[in-house]
Order: sequence, then C-alpha cells, then structure tokens
Amino acid sequence: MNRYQGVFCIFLSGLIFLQTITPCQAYNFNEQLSINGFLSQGYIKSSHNNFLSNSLDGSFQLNEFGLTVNSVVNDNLRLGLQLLSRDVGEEGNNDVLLDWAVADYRFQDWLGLRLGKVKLPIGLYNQSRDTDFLRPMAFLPQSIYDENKRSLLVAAMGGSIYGNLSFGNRGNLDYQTYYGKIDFREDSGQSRGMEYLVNTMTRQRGLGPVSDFEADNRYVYGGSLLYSPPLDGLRLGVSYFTGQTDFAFKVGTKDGAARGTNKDLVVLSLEYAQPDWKFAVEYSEFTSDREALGRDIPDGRSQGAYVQLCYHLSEPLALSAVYDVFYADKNDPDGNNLVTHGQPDFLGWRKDFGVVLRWDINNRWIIKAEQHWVDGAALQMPIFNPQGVERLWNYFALKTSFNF
Amino acid sequence: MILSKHLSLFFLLLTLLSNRVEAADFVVVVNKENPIESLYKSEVKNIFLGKKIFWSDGHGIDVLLQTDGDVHRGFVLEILSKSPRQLSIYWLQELFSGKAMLPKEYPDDQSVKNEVAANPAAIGYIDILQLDDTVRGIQLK
Repeated sequence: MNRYQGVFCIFLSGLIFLQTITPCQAYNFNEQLSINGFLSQGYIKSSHNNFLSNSLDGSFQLNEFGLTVNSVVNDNLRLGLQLLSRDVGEEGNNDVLLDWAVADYRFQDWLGLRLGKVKLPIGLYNQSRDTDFLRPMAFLPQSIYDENKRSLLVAAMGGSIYGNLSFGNRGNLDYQTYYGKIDFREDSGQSRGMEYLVNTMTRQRGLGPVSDFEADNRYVYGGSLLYSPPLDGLRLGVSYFTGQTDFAFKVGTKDGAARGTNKDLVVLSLEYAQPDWKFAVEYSEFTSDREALGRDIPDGRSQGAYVQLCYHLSEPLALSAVYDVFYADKNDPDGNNLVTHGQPDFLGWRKDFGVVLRWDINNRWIIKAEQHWVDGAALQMPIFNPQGVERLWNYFALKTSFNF
Repeated sequence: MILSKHLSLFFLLLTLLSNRVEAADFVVVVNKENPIESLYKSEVKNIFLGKKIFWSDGHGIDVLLQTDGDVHRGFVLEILSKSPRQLSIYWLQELFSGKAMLPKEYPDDQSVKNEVAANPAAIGYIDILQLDDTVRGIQLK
C-alpha cells in the first residue's frame, strides 16, 4: 500500500466515523460561533497523457480538506476563516494553508466590506472551486477554471466591497470588487508554468541551469456583477480580473527575471436552474502577457467556453454532461504559429467532452464517477508530460466528498 | 431571433421534463412585535437566500429554515424555485466561499413558532394549519 492509498483508507475510516455522529448543529457551539468543514478524496486515471498528476499510472493525489470557523460579533460584523489542505499532483502536498480569512462588515444590504484574505469572484463558481461537494463534476470546466491558474485566481490578501441591489420585481444585482496581492507558492501551477518556460529558454540558449525560482505577485484587482432577473432560476454574470507577477531566479550564477501580466480576464456567465436540472454556459477571454530573460513571449489572447447540463434522474442521482473548449490563442485556433516554432499544433487547443454520475448518498456524503474524452493538449499539459504529449487522450475520475 | 426561439424551446423542453412535487400550504411568520404585515415574494426570496439581511429598522434578520418535510419542500419550491438539495448546496456555497454563515435549522413547525415567538428579528415558515396567535402570518404580494 503506497502513501496515497494509506491516505485514502484513513479518509474512508474518518468518513465512516463522521457518519455516526450527530448532524451539523452539533458544531454550532452557540448562536455566535459555528465550525463546519469538508473532506474529499479522489482517484484519477488517464490514458496517453498525465493530467495534473502522475495519472497515467492512476493517482490518489486528488483531495481537499477544509475547516471553516465563523463568528457573528453583531448584526453587522462577522469574522471567519477557512483552513484548506489539498493535494493535486505536485501542488499542495496536503500542507495546511489559510484559504480565506475575513472581517466582514455589512453596512446595508447594498454595501459591505470584507478585509483580509478574500475569495475572488470570477465566473459563477470560482469562489467555491475547492469544495467538491458543491459542484456536479469532480473538475470544473478547465477552459474557465484552469487548475494551473488556481493560485493566481482563488483568493487575495486585501479587501473587497460588495452588496446586493434590489430592483423589486425587476430582479436584483450582486456586485463585488476587490484589490489585493496573491501569496504564490513555488508548487503553484502559475510558478511551475513560468519555470518551465524559463527552463526551456535557457536550454535553447545553452545557458546554465535555473535555480532559486521565486514568484512575487505585485497586485490583482477586478470585480463581478451577477444579475438575477425576475425569471426564477436565471442568473447572468460578468466578471473581470487583472494581475501582475514578477519572477526572480538564478541562471547559473547570474540573476534572471521574468514577468507575467495576466490581464483582462473577462468571463460572461449564464446559469438557468430549476429544481430538477441546471444549465450553465460561460465564455472567457484572457491575456497572459509574459516576458522572460528580456524577451517578450508571443502568448496572444486565449479563449474558452463550456456548456454544461445537469439533470436529476431522481433527487439523489444526477447525470451531467459538459463540453468544454479552450484555444490558447483565439486568433490561431489551429495552432499554426506553434508549428512554426517547432511545437505540435494541438498545444493550441483543448476540447473536452465529459459525463458524470453523481450520487448523493445523503445530505452530507456524495460519490461521483466521471469520464472525459479530450482532443488537444493546451493548458500547460507539457509540464505534466516532459516525455511529450499526445493529441487524443482521456481521463476517468472517481471522487467522494463529505461535509459537516 | 431564431437563436432565442431555439433557446426558448430548449428551456421549455427541460421544464416539461422536470417532475415538480406539489407544494404544501405554508405561511411565512414573524414575531408579533415585527410591524411588517406584508412582503413581496421577491423580498422573501432575497431574505431566505441571504441577499437581504436587514429589516427596514436596521436590525439584522434571523432566517429560520426547517430541516425537511412537506412544508419545507413546498416553501423552497414555490418561493425560492429550488429543490431542498439545491437550497442546501446554495447555502454551503455561501458558507465555504466566506460569504455567510448557515441559517439556523429547526425540525418542525412548533420549534419554528417557539423561536419566532421569542425572537423579534426572526422569520420562518410553517404549515398554514399550524398558524396561531403566538406568531404573525405575513401576507405575500
């Protein structure tokens, strides 16, 4: 039994134990303090390419554990934090990190202020992206919610202004703006992506090895609008994000520098939900403007979109399907520029069709099984496949989650 | 135009596939000291989704949910247009993304009435047949 199978067995034992204790009210110590949490453990197996982890051999490196503490000080002020431990391939390694921590002051329904480490509202589901229990599939659509960009997009140390504007029988509007800094980790997909690029460039130029790689995010800012019109179940959203990160490293004994300006991420969202089904479609564009070793990298502007339908066959059993498309450069969807640089054209796109069956065993425990068929290897696939990538591949995921 | 027609047909088809359960008769109740006599359905929806958190006098609203049962299902379907499971997931999204705490849950009509009668800031829902003079029913517009 390897380390990850051991973790899985401990997780299952814990799950069985938690099933025997009383429901979530047990953790509400009084009306002012509550403790909640979630646990999930998955298994991923892929063909032809590794995805996020060493998935060609099958991997249990797919889990999240969260512990959330909230305290209501008065009608206006709430204090809260969430600790998160996750392991997705090389990223996370189950270190316990602060996911978010806020002092949340609500002046009026239409005006509130959160200070601390705040979650970023990008698309419909970014703020809850680490809680497997809340979504129909184990993986959110990668065209919008790319796992490699998670560290950049998930939360920032800073502040957020938010509120809800009610228009009576014409619906209501949730808004949120934010400004802050990201605390990057070396194992984040964003850092590893830049390090992979720098390594490739130094190798091509015959320079020394890259070491002491460090990332320093300068800023992120953005906001979102989410309109709920009078038609029950319909939500329409638009969100925006921009950020800049500097990277420092050694090439041999000399200092090297790189900069990544992740600018003008725009996501347009539509969700229409009824008690038995949910339809969601989102579209995004994103510019990843990189400079490394004094050279401007021609990244272009990426484009992504997905459509997802979830239908409840019965209340506890839901069948979902997703079609998710991403182009690394929207002006070069066939990857012709990649070919001129000696790379395969299929690094320029990723087209993913997936189906999943989700079984809610009870209100707190779920199991999902899903299969994806993928054409293309965009979204940093070479990082996980240094031996080379293939165009057509697929992956299967099995995941179970629990919340309390 | 053609696209919107196709989208309308698509949503209509999905709606027809839905197997809604008939709603139970419920009444929204508040404390007898609460001066509010009626609310728009959209206001009730915003309250129970945590979007409206203050009464008009500036005091915070205490939302009371029922744990399950026909009254809970009927209220959630008719007012919030969600299944009980969707409502549960909605609130867990609010909780785990750092936006809010979960509303309090009560097992039955009597426990909701007891809390509403004791708490001037509370709002809940009960079977309309259980309405008595310990709490005040709200007219929905």
